[in-house]
Amino acid sequence: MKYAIAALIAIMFVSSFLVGSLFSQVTIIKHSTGAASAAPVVMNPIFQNTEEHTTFVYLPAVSNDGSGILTSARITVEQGNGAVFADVDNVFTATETQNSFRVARDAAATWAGVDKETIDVSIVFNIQDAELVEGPSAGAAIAAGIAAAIIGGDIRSDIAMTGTINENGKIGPVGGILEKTKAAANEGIKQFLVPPGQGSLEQLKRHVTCSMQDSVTVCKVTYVIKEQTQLEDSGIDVITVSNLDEAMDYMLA
Amino acid sequence: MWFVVVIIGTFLVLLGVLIGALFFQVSTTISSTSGIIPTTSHITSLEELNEDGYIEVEATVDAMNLIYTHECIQVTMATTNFQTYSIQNGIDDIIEVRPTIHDVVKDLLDNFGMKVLQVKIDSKDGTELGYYANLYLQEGNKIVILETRPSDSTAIAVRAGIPILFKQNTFEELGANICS
Repeated sequence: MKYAIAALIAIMFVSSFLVGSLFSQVTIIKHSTGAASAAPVVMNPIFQNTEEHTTFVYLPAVSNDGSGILTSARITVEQGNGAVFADVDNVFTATETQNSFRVARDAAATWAGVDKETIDVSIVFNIQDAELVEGPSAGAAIAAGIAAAIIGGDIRSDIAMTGTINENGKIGPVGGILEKTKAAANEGIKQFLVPPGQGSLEQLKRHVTCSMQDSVTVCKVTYVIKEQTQLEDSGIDVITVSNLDEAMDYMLA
Repeated sequence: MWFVVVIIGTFLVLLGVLIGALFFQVSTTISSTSGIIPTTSHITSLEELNEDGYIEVEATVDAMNLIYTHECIQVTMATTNFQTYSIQNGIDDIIEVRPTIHDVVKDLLDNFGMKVLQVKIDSKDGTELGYYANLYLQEGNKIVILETRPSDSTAIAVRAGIPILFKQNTFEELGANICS
């Protein structure tokens, strides 16, 4: 009888130990920090008019509601000291957009064979119902506009372009390509220049594979093409360009 | 007699629950704060973790670019200001104002006992448009390899203090020589 009682007590103790272990498996870690702050943007307001040339370039964009819109920019180049001005009267530009303007100026100056420190560039957006322009995807089109203005040329009025650009004039990928294409087509644009590999829109899906190797489970998560949409189905001539030199062949009037 | 047995039994049940809870609470906290998971020879010898053909690169940033450097070769990738900000904070081991998403991911990994093993960068198509990174995670006897943006994996790697590996032939082919 005594042994039975002792065994019962031992079983109850072990069981309760395990129950207690289960209750304690979840640990809660909490983040707690202060409030955010925003840095002001300061620009030099001095702008001296000398010899200058102005071009206009179309810039397809994606609005806050996710729809495509066709905006434009007026780009003026004049003799100067290497300044790049962005108009803030109508709309603000995010820091990464400002940086893309500066890089665009560098690429355009290299393409045109001029010293970037000998010109000033001003960029004025024509955009409705927007407070802020974000992202670097207008960089390539801005570069084309600056390059055209430097040589005293004009950009065709039936062409638009999207793409990032680097100092060497290479054009890089952007988001919202389908919305931009539709917006350009709806506004009567005939040709739309896009970055390499973006002549079609790829939607991806997650692909997971697992295998056992020496008692270790190895799982790999990759992303593969789910469906592909050809941009030309939007009713516009879509052309991929990989650098500013290629783009200028199409862009110049 | 039975009354005494019931009292002792109840006491031992409560004591067992308490000791069990404390024991596992301590072990969970230790593993989550230190991130130490035993690495078996099985895991380290896996083909997936082989570093042949990869070189270790240093990651730095400027305002809008992610820069990988190894000796005289440098690969620059354009990214957003948020990513460069997060990577720089990870390099400096600081959290400003609020944690970034990469701080949160690192916290999740640590507190669920997952260790960051490797980051490997390559290009899918051999061009600058195809850059991607694989993030290698371990939890016990399981390895998970996640396809990510290079900037995201880099932001996590600098927080985990692990080397960033770049496919050597891709790096040399697409990188710029900064010594000449």
